[in-house]
Amino acid sequence: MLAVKAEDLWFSYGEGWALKGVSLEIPEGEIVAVVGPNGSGKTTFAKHLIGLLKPTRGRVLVYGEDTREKSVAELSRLVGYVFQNPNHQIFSETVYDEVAFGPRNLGFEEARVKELVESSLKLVGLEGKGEERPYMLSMGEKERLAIASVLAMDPRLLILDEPTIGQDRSTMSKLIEVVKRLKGEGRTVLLISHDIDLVYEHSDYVIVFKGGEVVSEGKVAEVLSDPELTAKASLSLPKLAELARLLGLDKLPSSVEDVVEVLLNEVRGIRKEELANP
Amino acid sequence: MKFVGYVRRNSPIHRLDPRTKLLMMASIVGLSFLFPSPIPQLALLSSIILLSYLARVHKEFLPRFRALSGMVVAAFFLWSLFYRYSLFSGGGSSEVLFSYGPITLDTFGLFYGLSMALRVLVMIGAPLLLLMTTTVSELAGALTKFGVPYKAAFTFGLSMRLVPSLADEMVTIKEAQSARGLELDKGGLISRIKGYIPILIPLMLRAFELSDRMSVAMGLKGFGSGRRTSYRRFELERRDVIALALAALALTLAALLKLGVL
Ligand SMILES: Nc1ncnc2c1ncn2[C@@H]1O[C@H](COP(=O)(O)OP(=O)(O)OP(=O)(O)O)[C@@H](O)[C@H]1O
Ligand SMILES: [Mg+2]
Repeated sequence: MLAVKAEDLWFSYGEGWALKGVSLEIPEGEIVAVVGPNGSGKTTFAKHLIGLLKPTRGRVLVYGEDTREKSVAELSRLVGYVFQNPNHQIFSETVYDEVAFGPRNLGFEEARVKELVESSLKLVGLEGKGEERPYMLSMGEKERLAIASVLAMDPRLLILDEPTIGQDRSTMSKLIEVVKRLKGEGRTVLLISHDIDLVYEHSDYVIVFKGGEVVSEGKVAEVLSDPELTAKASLSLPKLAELARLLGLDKLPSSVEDVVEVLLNEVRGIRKEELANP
Repeated sequence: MKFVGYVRRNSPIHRLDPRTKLLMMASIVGLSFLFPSPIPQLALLSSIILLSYLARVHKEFLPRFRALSGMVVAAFFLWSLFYRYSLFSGGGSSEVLFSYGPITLDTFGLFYGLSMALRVLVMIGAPLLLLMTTTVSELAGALTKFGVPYKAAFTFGLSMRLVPSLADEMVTIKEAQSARGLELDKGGLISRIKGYIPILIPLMLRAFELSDRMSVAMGLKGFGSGRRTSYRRFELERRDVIALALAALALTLAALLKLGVL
């Protein structure tokens, strides 16, 4: 099943077009990255998936539901949207209540709420912190709290809008771990990010926005290793792709280990040759 | 799009001295107070619109009126139907057009409602136009020239700047919470009021956060560390004199009309 299908989506905030005829499909159960320069329409597109914005023209289907016919509250059963700054949503006395807010709004029974809260706190690595005050948490923990409070609504599609800005390495790797676990559970993750290396290494598909249009989409390794395309979309080439280009590798590496292996094989080959004809 | 905010343009209105613009705005608001009937309000509104064209900001300015349409309609209905319950109503008699229970519509009410609706546009439009054509620091400068203490003028300017950013913050917070299933227009009065808690608490905390950050930045730049000198010179030029003369003329005419001399 398709998680998202956008059909000739146009959107205007009043003057000019923020989205100009976006058509795309997002398969279920994958990590899909959305990249593009500032103001290219990434956030505008993502907000359509949960109905915060409605198409000016065209339509968007989320798990087959036309977003024009659904309220944000209805769509929030299917789609979780984590805003960039956790301070825009934290308001409860305890971490537990904060995470329980969403599922309670959806009308789940208290026993089910408890179950959801505990499993999502565990998923983001905040288990045992239920009774703590949200304001006392570190910024990285707040970020994960915000994710947990959306996960507790049991969404099939999770949207993370630039979750990695201003985060340290350990927070970032925890975040990536969470995203991978979600994929393991069969959920779809839409990751909006400017971190091209993160996208290259950890997502399956990528959609490139520029000036309100989709300029390219497809498997990450194929799309992001094309220097012409990345230049056109004002993106930098991922370090791994750059490395592969410099080394003249014909197969694209998906991690540093891949590159190292290729190099090691090369070195071993040379050595063997040297041993054979001294 | 922000509701309030400076729009940089090269126009005769932008070039006016901020004091002139402040006085013009005050005259328009003052006249709107003095003459509550629809024709003068309409005249004031047209002059504001004319000024927005002169300032070349009409493309930004006029759409703001659409955002006020709810308020205008509400003002019209409230005042035309219920004006007689107001403390200030003179209680004259006029032809009743329609009546149902406590709701009565008469010709005076219609007249009153119309002018109140126009007045909303004038009272909000004039300060809005001022803020679109004058930077906050120019305004603060103008206030100090009028004898307002620098710190007070600066604080005024700062809060003017904080209002639009808080409005933006509120929009984001509302979006974030509705994405968590919050529905604001559901249920009875109590549950509606309760629905605002998840919005107001983060908003308050953001306001503290923003102002705290701002005060640190101001401290670092030496705010309040003694007498300050100013690079900017405020000098009235010919165009200011013309604009002020026009405003004075309008005010004098208005005063004469009010006194019944004309
Ligand atoms: N609330 C708004 N009102 C008016 N215009 C807006 C609004 N939000 C975004 N825009 C405009 O729409 C266009 C697309 O913006 P959007 O926020 O979707 O970009 P983005 O790709 O998410 O950028 P970034 O990487 O900076 O987050 C931009 O030109 C932006 O100025
Ligand atoms: Mg964005």
